[in-house]
Amino acid sequence: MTTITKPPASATEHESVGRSLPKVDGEKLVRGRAVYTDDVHPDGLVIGRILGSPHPHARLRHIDTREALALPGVLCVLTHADVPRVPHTTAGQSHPEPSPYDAYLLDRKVRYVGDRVALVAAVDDDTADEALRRIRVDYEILPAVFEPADALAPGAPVLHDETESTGIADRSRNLAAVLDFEVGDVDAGLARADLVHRDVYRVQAVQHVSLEPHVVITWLDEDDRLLVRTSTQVPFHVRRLLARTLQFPLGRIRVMKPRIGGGFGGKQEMTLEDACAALTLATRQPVKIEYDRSEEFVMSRTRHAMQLEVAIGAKRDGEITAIDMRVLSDTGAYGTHGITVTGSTGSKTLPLYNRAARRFHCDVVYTNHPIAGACRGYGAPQGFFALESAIDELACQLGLDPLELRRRNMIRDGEVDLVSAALEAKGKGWTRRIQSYGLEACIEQGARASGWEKRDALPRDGELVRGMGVALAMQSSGVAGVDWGAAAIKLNEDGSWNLSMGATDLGTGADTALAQIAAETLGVSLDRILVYAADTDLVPYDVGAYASSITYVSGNAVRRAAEEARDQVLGVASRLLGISAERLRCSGNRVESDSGRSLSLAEIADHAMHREMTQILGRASFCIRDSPPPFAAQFAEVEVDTETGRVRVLRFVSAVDCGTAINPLQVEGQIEGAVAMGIGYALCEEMLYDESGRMLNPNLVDYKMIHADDMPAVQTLVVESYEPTGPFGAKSVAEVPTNGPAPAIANAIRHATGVRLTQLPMTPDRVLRALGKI
Amino acid sequence: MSSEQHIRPGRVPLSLVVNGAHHTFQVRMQDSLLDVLRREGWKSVKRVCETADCGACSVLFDGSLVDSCSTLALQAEAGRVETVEALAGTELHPLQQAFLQHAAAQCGFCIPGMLLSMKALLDAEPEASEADLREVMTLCRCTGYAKPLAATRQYREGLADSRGSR
Amino acid sequence: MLGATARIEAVRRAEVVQQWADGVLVGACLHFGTLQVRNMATVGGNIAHALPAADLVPALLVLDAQLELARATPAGDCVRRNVPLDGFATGPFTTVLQPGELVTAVQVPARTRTWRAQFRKIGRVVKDLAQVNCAVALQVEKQRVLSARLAVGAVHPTVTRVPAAEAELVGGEIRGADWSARVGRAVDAVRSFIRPISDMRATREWRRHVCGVLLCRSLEWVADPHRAGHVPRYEDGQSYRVGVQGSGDG
Repeated sequence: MTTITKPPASATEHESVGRSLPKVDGEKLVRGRAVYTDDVHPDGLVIGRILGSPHPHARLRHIDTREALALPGVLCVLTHADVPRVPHTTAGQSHPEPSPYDAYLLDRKVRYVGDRVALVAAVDDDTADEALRRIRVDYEILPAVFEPADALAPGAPVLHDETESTGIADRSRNLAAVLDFEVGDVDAGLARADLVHRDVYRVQAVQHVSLEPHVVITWLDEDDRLLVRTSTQVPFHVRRLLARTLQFPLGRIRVMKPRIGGGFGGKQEMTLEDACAALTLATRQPVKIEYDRSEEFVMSRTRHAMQLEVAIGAKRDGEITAIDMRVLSDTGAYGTHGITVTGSTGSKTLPLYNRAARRFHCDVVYTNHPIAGACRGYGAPQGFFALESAIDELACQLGLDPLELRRRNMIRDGEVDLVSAALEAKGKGWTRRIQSYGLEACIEQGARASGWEKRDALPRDGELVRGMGVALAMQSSGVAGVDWGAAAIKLNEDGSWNLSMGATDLGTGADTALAQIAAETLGVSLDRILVYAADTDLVPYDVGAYASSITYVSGNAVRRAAEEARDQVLGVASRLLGISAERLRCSGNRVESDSGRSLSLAEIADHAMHREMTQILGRASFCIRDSPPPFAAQFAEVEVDTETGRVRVLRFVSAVDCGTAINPLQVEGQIEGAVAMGIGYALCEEMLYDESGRMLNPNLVDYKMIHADDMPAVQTLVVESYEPTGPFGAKSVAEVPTNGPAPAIANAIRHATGVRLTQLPMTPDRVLRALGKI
Repeated sequence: MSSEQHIRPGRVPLSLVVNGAHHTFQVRMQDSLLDVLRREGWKSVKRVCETADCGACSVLFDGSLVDSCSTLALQAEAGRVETVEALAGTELHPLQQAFLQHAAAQCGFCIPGMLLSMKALLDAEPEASEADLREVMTLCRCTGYAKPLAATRQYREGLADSRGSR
Repeated sequence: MLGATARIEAVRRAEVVQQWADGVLVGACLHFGTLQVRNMATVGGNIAHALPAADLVPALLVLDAQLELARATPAGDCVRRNVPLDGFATGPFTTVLQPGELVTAVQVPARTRTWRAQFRKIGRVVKDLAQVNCAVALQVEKQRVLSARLAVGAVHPTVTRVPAAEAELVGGEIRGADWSARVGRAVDAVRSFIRPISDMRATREWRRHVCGVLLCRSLEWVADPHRAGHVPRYEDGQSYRVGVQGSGDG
């Protein structure tokens, strides 16, 4: 690893941070002992199921539940008549959420195949299924619309004609939201360009496919409080959304997040919790709702499908003068995350070429498709596919090295991100300046590792041709001024610590990384930190795991809480040793002084608790004021079979600057997982629908994902920089490597065959058509 | 369970050895082996795709690696089932240790199936190739397969060392 | 003879099966799916299910496999009959099985076991239902093709042989420009014959084109004596060496 910017001279060799220590939860994971949501059932658990609409757009004229209720073993059937009608967003975002309040627990209308019609609680699965079959619904079928362009057109069916919904830009045109920003004068920039390349890129809806589906268990405790055990990324947002949707006092709701089997943004929502809780409130029984895989595909969330028009202009010498990006985004039946994802398609990508004039416009449109929501990368993968393909094509047409063209125009260390400045001027977000910068090193190391210089020598005759492509990427680390977290850490008599925090580990290793930050600050070994997260009753608030925020946001909170606790420890030690605190330091599970006298933490804890009668406890809240971008340079070497159109990725190199890598092996694991997801997005994953909006492939037989035997040889280079505002210099890593694979592969195909594909996924059929073979 | 135990309506008895211990369960005709194992407490066996595409529900049945979601419980009558709980004693199995060392478990949901499938492959073919490992490895959404493969390679090399065949 | 309840994985590992026709049946088993599925799925099941993309069927067809069927009469007798695999499936998921009748065994005649053969499959990812699969088998003596069989799957309502294509391959030498020309005519005959559909996995145009490509590659491969016994793992040249259990890339 290369450190680009030196950390402050006062930083000594780290004991914990920067080391690939085994995960704090690792042993129980490999023993198969980790406890996920469905692994513990309260006594008397009852099964909840959701009746999903068979039609993409319909009014529910009448729902007859009598036959279902008459079935023995059915405890209740709920329709919109039985629950509060409260407009809300299901998006897990800070309040007030920027998403439209256009969703209802149960509505009088359905807007996609799978939308909620009714809820059932029954003693077991079979009875619940039978009850669903017995619910008689009189649907007034309405015309449906599936293309955003069609949905915007005059005369299109209106999805959200209900008056109670708010936050919709123009409901009569199915326009959920719109955003514009401009840096400099794009029209002038395009006019003075020697060459303008224009193209339209189309990206598809894909799904997170967390191995653990959405699942929730709700029950009433002996105090009649509503308890919710759920696979979620956002326990505190869920609590608040439940309070609103159920009209139930927030303080009487407890949301517990156990071990999670993957999230990737799909669980940055209130997806099932309100339905399950409604059944518990109606029956007063513990209820579980767990999606099967087909429900998981259709009735949870997807990535936003988009159409992106890009115009990019440059001088012959390689100065990019202007970039214009116009996006049409399909947010599906409800607007959750619609504007924030689609806005990010511009605001997270266009900063990369910071000296060009740039303009962005997006329309976020309702259609009768399943609901699009947060998905790893959050609009950036879509944007980077378009941007990094466009700039690559421009390089091809100008006869310039694609990497050199990028180098010449990319954002540099110390620059102010002008896109963020333009957005701040519109009251949307805060300006950021680049204070840690590893992009140049990422390019250098990635190019070397991938053999970029020799790419033209790759074999290219015969039926199998090879090529290499590159893509650059950046992201953010949390949302400045919005994302915040809190932590508390207390000392036990034996010198061990309990770290309690709202930060949510989805399998990302957050518990471990944050414990390492605490351990480093407190001068203790990792095994002295017991992590507890997240339970809304027992831990301090945190917005949750999204926007690549845990290390940077929650990590900063943990660091400050640990510093406060450390100062208390030093205070006690100072009193015990008679040495001033400035001459003491925490290290190796002890407090040491320069005179050689030292105390163990157990001794200090014993004194604090049994003599001073005080609990050493540090706590802190931290809201980020910045959102430093991680950077990536990703290289794909592909082989295209020009007679079948099959694209094989042979090698993939990722060079990623995440600031300080708190736990290098975990960082690598995040990068490698993101690359696999990106390759699937590029080559084979796609949600397919028939003419009635019904998903054709809601299972793993027909929704194809990358397995181990499809993965290329991957090389992961962690390029460290030092972010002064991050805990021990860290930024983030979870999303940025998802951005590069699709454009890098498209660029590699272009290099190998001369053909530019602008639609994802790049299936053998599309490749063969582009090659003119069929 | 005694033979006079009352059989609940709609259920039939199923005898199974799970991780070395004899059990008799009451199962429904349509129960999969996955349904029964989870209901009876072996929570390490995970429900993911239920179409035999992912391998997360893999168990060893009479020594053979199968998807428990696609095995009828009654098909397993009088058979021998092993889940990942049987892998470790007080000490972790070397394959588990390798996974820990390589940070190969992220969310962990695929790990039981992945450990069993890699162990089953290498028990049968200690010199299984890289291509074989990749072919048998279960679906994973978190890791991109890189560290599970690295961990399994290390385990395979450990097997070779203990055979003294290098 | 293969029992109908023989598991695919057992067939894959059986040494005797590896000897038959360049291990073409092993090739089909290798592409069959995951190890877990191969440990459960049976030969009889794959045949009787009559999926148009069934993986074992092309390989068995080009070996002239015969099926033994059996059913129990109300009196308790067992009535058996033999039918060729060719024609057993009459449409997607439809066969000549009568009510209560089972496939009990598959017979691969001794005469085809010395032929040169190959099975190929292509999917969207490595583990997938076939977008296209195919098998070829040639009886070659002194460099001349005495008999030819060719079967294609996932491109027609059933896995099917194409007699017009087979006729093109017979009679000449298995090398040189003449052979390439015969292969070209055989591929054209297949492309004219098959009735592929467009579905989630592929379009009919893609299937028609790629079917011919896979056949062409298979025929070039079996014509090359150095490649005998190598089974492609992926549709790109990497191969197994059949006969050494579990060993990898050739």
